[in-house]
Amino acid sequence: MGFIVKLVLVLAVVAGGVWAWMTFHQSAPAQQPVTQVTEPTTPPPTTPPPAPTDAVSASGSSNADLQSDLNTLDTQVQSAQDDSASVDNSFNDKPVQQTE
Amino acid sequence: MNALKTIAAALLALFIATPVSALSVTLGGSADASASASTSAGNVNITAAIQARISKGKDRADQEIQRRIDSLNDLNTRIQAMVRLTGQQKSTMASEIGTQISTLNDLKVKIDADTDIDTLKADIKSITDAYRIFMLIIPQGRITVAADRITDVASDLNAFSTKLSARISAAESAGKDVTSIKTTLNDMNAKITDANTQSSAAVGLIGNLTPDNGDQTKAAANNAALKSAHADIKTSVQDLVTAKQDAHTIVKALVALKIDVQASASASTTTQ
Repeated sequence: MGFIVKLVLVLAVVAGGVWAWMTFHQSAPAQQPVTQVTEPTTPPPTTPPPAPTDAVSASGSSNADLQSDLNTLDTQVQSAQDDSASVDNSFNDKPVQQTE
Repeated sequence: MNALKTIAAALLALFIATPVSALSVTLGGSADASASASTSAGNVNITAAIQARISKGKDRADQEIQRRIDSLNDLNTRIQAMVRLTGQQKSTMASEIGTQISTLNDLKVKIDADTDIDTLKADIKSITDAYRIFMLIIPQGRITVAADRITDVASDLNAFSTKLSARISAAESAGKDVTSIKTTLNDMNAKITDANTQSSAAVGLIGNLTPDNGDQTKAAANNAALKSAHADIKTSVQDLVTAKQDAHTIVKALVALKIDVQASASASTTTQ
């Protein structure tokens, strides 16, 4: 009985040691980048260039694709018309009147 | 693209050049306010009338300032939606618009604190004379935004035209009569080209406009340039509408030919 208890204790100690060793070596690489990563020489751009608008060119040319493109173009042309209408409105604004 | 960047820079310069402290203008007028009243009751009536006019003037001024602030905010929203400006350019312009709004708010505070009707009248007048928000900045900004959109849409229409051209060639190779479709495609391409031409012309017209600062000749020239650019934008948008209608006509005709390509966009065609 006493032997078995001692054996369990030894095994537990050995297993604990192995676990501790593995834990240490697994966590160590994760810490390395903190100290090893070098600072970039130039900061990343804070304002990326505008994304290309390839809503039409990116799709295929099947009949279904063409129909989908037409829907996209309908929306885009409508937006252009809205912008044009806003230009119209800017010419319709009246300056402040001084009525005394 | 470069032209749009140029106009954006010009617009930014305009924001910077716009006076921000032209508030101390003396007012004339209100001669009746100094009318000699022979009785104390008459003086009371005149004072009350002046106060009523001051109150009314402040209300109107506040409304006009708010209208300009709303328009500037709207312009900023449109600028942020532009696709051919960099984020940095948008950020800078947003900052300058914010400065304009801040200045208008300062003017509002000054007007609200005015107690003299002559000073109040001068401050109200400065809303239009000194800032030119509606006379120049807003129209110029919106034309720039519209031109950006037109260029973007024209680019997509052009890409679509290329697709249609390939489909038409495929149909022709399959023995279909595409004469009418080709004519429509030519019209579509012409409209796209003209849309770009008109849009560029609009941008060119307003690129170098600066506040008139009371110079009537310059004000007239600015107004003429803005109106001409406005006409160009309208023509350009109408071109886009026509080009889009042409595209619809072409697709409808292609579908009627019962020739399709695989969704994988391969060059092969299938007869349905």
